[in-house]
Amino acid sequence: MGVLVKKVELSWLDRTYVWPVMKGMAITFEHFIKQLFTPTSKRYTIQYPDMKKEIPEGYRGLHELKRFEDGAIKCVACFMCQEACPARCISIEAEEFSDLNITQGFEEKRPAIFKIDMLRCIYCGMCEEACPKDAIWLRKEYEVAAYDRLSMQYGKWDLMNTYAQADGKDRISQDPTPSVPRRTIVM
Amino acid sequence: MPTIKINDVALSVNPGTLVLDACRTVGIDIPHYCYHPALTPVATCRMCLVEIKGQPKLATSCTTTVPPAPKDNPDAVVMEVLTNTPAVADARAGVMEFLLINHPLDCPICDQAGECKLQDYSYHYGSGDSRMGEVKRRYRYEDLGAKIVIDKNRCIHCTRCVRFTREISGGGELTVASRGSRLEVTTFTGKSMDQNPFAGNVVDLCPVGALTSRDFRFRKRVWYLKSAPSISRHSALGNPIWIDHEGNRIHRFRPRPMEGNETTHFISDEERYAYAQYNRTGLAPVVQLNRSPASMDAIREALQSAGPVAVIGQGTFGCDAAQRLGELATSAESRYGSGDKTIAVVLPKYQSSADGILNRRGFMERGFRFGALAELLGKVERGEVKAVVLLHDAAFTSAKETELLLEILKASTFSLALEVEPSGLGRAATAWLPITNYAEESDFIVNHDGELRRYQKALQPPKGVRTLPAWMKDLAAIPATV
Ligand code: SF4
Ligand code: SF4
Ligand code: SF4
Ligand code: FES
Repeated sequence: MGVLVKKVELSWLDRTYVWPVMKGMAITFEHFIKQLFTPTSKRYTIQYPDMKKEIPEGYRGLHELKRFEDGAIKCVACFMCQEACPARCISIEAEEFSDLNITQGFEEKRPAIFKIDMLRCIYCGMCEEACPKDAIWLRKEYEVAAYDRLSMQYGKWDLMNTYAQADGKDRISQDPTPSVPRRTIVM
Repeated sequence: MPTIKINDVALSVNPGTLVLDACRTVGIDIPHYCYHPALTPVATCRMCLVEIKGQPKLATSCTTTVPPAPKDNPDAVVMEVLTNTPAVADARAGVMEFLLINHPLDCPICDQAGECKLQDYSYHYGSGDSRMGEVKRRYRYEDLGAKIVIDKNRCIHCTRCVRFTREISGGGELTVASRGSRLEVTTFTGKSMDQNPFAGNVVDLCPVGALTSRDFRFRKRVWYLKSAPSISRHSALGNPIWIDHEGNRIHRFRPRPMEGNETTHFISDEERYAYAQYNRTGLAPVVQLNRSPASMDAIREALQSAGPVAVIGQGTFGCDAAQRLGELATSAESRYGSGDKTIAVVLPKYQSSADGILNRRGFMERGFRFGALAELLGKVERGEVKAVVLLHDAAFTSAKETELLLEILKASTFSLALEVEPSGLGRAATAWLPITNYAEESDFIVNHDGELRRYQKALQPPKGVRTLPAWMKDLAAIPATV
């Protein structure tokens, strides 16, 4: 079945073509004048990069590896995010650490290396979803760009500091506990 | 034979068979923790409960045996077992809940995750949530030495590990202390697992993550590992093992139990930790002639023009390699075997021979004579043998034999060594060819008990490194006359 196209009957005024053009120009000028007298913050166009859009809740931007109060990484290197990642851009290597006498559940394993290839990442949030420790968040930063490929490989400390400035936290580049295998001789 | 009925499937079995085993033969896997085919049953975990008609309570199938049939009717149905009734399902769910009451549920950091019976059975028979409102029990950390790490919080007190140290490895380092909810697996004061040459097995035995290997700890998640069936080269029996590898690197060896063969459940620590030497490091070795890179053709020409050839094969390689190597020898008499490693017999049941040369039989069947190297030296010195081809692995030869081999190599006009990595001996030879190590090829051996054991390729060899049969084919090839 073909599509029925309704024929539009133009009036003589429209058929002059001058009148419709003038109508269009009037709209353009109306907006032009309006924009001239509207304060910048109320305009539709955002003056990026001087101005930035308010990012809605639940936006999936650059990742952050969360930390505890004392700066210890929350991630326990369980590899769940690596497993879940459809882009296969996470690579982790685990290490052992602990100087505790009491076995305290999660405090003996952490990532030695945690890398995300931001060029491959599709910002799907699967890693965040998979994480049992709530240790990886995708937050609001979206300006992920660099001059070379290597700077798009985010390491453990890059990921832990991605939002340090925004949150007013210190940048960290060292684990509070050294990496040693658990071993207690005295009982 | 008496007949038993398992969920209405009739099965005739020998009297005295465990109900759990009988169920397995008809394909019904009864969940179990404490039962292990090589250990005495103790029925501590209560996971294997089944309903037996005529008995008021559920029975543990790992300790219930099939009774003998009455004399007048040898095929009588003596027992009716039900494994899928609501009562059984209820019991399993109950046991799972009890086991998980104090379990820390720290699967994210647990090495066992992925091969944990607690996880598997929890999915199958347990419930999704916990009713445990109280604070969970915590144990002090205890050091078990350089091989084994224990996390008592995860232990389900199946006592498999304790029974292993008592019944199989001897030594009895582990024991169960305290009672009730304070029960713990611990060592006798001052003992560690270090002196136990079979300690690594407790890691495989532990159905949960309470015992983990310090060597493998946190190295890889088990679901990333690929397993290749193989054998251990460091035992006289060529014990069947799995090579667990990932990214062309071996991460661990673990026993590969064979049906009905109890001794294959355990391997010694020496075998277990031998995996590291099969991971290649550094650059791939290259073909050498007179200590400089050379082409295969040059070596073939040198060998073919040298004169009578004798071969020396170390009895740790596969039978296929032995066959091809033997074919290179000029006469059937000039096949010599080498290798003189011995293994201390700790558990006679698991190590039937002290001979560390596992394929001695296979080599002998292919005409290799062991212990005749002195004769070869004489022949080489008299000029009856001009060229010597040596298949060698430095790890299985003593200093004394190495010296003898070195003399043979020096006395011959042309010598060719085939090795995985160049050793001192290999460098002394005129020519040198890189061969694959056993994890990089598929072959088979005939062990000291006369059993044929196959092993399969797990790793990809580096470029330019070929299997021995492949090299031999090239060496024997007649060059095209121009
Ligand atoms: S957001 Fe998606 S693609 Fe990016 S790292 Fe997480 S799981 Fe992978
Ligand atoms: S899922 Fe979470 S805890 Fe696990 S490795 Fe990833 S970030 Fe770490
Ligand atoms: S440590 Fe493992 S094998 Fe030993 S009793 Fe506990 S759960 Fe069983
Ligand atoms: S397997 Fe039967 S009680 Fe544990």
